[in-house]
Amino acid sequence: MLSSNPEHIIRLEDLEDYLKPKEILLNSSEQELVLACAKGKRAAQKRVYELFAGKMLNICRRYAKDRDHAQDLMHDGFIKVFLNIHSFKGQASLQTWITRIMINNSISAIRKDVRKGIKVNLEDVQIAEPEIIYFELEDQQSLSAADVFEKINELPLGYKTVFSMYVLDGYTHKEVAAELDITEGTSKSQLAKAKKMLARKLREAQ
Amino acid sequence: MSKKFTNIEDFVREKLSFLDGAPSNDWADFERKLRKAVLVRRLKRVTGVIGLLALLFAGQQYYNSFSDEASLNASPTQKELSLKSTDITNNHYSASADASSSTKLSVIKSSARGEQSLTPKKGTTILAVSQAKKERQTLVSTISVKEADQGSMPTKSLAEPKAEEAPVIFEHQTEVENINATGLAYVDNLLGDYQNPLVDEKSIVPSDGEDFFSRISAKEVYISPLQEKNPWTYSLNIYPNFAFRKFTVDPNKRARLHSDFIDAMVNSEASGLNLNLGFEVNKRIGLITYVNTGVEYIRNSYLAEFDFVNFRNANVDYSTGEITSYTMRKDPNRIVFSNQNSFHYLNFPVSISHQPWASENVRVNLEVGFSLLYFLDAQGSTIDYRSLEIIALSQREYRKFMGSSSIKIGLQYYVNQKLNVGLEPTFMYFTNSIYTEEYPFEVIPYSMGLNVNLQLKL
Repeated sequence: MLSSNPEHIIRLEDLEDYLKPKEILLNSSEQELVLACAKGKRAAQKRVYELFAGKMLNICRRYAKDRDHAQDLMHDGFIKVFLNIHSFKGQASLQTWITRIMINNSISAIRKDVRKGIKVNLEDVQIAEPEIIYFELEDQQSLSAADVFEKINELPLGYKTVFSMYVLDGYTHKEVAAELDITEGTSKSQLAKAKKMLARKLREAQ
Repeated sequence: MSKKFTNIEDFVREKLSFLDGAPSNDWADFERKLRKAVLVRRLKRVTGVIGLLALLFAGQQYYNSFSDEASLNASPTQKELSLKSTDITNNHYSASADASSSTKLSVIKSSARGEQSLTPKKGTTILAVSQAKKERQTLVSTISVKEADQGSMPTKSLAEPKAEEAPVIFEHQTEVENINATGLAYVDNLLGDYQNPLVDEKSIVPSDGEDFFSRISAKEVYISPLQEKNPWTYSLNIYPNFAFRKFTVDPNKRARLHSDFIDAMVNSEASGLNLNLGFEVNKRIGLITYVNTGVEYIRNSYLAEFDFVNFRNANVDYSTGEITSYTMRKDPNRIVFSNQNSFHYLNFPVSISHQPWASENVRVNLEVGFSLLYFLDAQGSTIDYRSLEIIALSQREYRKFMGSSSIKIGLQYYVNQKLNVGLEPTFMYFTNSIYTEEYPFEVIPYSMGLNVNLQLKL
C-alpha cells in the first residue's frame, strides 16, 4: 500500500474497475451536473464553478470597482447559483441562467452601494438632444478582445454599469433606470458619456 | 480584410464575443464561502422552525389563557350588569340587567331576616352565579359583593335562573360592584357542587391587575398523567441529525500526508447525517427533572468526495511511515472520487434533563449528559492520505471507545401522552476522536447538529 511506485497511482480510466464509484463527474452532461449540484455534491459544484468562473468573472468585472470586488461579486453569485440550482428548469442553458444571476447580483450590489450613499457617478445630467458620437474603428488585430475589455473596465463605475447593461446585457433605458433607481434621461446621458469616453480610449489604444 | 465599425456598440459586442474567461483557481476560497452560506441557510431554517414552534406554543398559551378568561369573565353585555341601589332608605336593592343581553341576572331572594343565609366571610365572596338558561354553558358572570353589613349575608344561589325573576329586591344594605376581568374571586364550597366545566381550578389566580405573563408563570408545573402515575418511563427514540467535523493537519504528522491530498481531505468528509435508534429509560427525580439512560445504535454516514490533481509521487520511508520526498509525475493525474461511507456505533448515554417550561402539549427541554460510544464497524472506501490509493475504511485502525459530553436545548411537542416529536439543537464535545494516533489529521472534537426525534413512550 505504501509505495512511491507510479503503478500505484489511480488512473481515472481504472477508477470504475477499482471499486463501485458512485460519481465520476468528469464527463457529466449539463443535466447530470445540475442534478448532482442540487444534491449538494461538491465535486459537481466544483466542476460547474470551474466551467463558468472565468466567464462570470468577466461579467462581474464590468460591474465591479476592481478585480477583487468582481471576485466577491462572482462568489456571491455562485453561492446563489448553488443554493438555488434546484429552481433551474433547463429552459435556457445553464450558462445563460448563471449569467443572469451574476448580472442581477452585480446590479443589486451597485444598487445597495447607491442606497448607502456610495457615489457611483450616476449624476442626473439631461442631454437636450442626442449627442452624436463620431466613431470609426477598424477591426484591427492590434486591438484584442482583452484590450477592449480592459478599456471598458477603465470607465467610471456609473458609465461602465449603464454601458454594460444597455450594450452588452440587453437592458433598455427604462429597465436600466428602474434597476438603478435613476431616470431614463440619466441612463441615456450616462450611456452617451460612456460611449464617448470609450471611443476616445480605444482610439488612443490603436 | 478589415471590417469598419462606425457604431461603437457593435464593435464592442463583436470584440467581446471572443473574450475567454481566464481559468479560475480560487475554488478553495469559494468553497469556504459556500460552506458558510449553506450552514447559515441551515441555521436560518432551524431558527425558523424553532420560531414557528415557539409561536405555536405562545399561541397555544395565549389561547388557553384567553379561553380561561372568557369563561371567567363576563361578556361585554354581562360586564354592564350591575346591581343598583334603588332604595337606600328602605334598605332595598334591585338587580337589573341590560335588556339586550341574553344573560339574565338571577338572584334568589334573600332577606335580612336570615332565611337560608350563610355565615358571612370576610372580604370578597360570591353573591350569585347567573347563567342564561337558553344560552350556551360558556357565559358565566360572577359578581363580588363587599359586605357593608357583616351581620347578614345573601343566600347562595344555584337554582336555575329565570328571566322573569329579575329584578330582585334585597332587604339589607349591601354594596355591590362588578369584578374586573382578572379579578376572579374563588370561594370554597360556596358554589356547592357546582363546577364550571371551563374553569381549571389550578389556573385560577387571585390577581387583581396581574397581567397575562405573570399568570402564566403562576401556573403549576404540568405533569402528564402518565408521569404522575409512574416515575419510570421507557421510550423508543429515532432521530436523524446533521453532524459536522473539521479536519486540520496535525503539524507533527504532516510528513505522513501526501501534499497533493491535504486540501482535498480538508474539504471533504466534513459533514454527514447521523441516524440514531435507541431505547431510553427515564426516571423522574424531581417535579420536572429526569435522569435518562439507555442504549442507542448510531449510523453516521457521509459522502466522501475528492477531486484533486496528483502532480507527484510520494517516496515513503517504510521504517517511519513518513514521506521523505516526491517525484514529479510527467502527466498530472486528476483524481475524482465519491462514495457514501458510514460508521456504526453503539452509544450509552447518561443525561439529566430539566423541563422548565411546559404545557399540556409543548415542553422545553434542557439536557446535559455524557455518553460512551463503542465503535462497531466502518463501511465504505476512501483515498489513503499517503499512497493516494483507494482503500476500504475497514482497513484503517480505529479506537474502540469514544467519550462525549453533550448539551441539548429543544422543544418537544406531545402529540399525545405516549408520542412526542422533538426538535433539539445539540452541541456535542468529544473527548477523543475515533482515529488513532497514526491518523495525521486532527479532527475537531465537537459537533453541532439538529436532532429531530420521534419518541414513543412505552
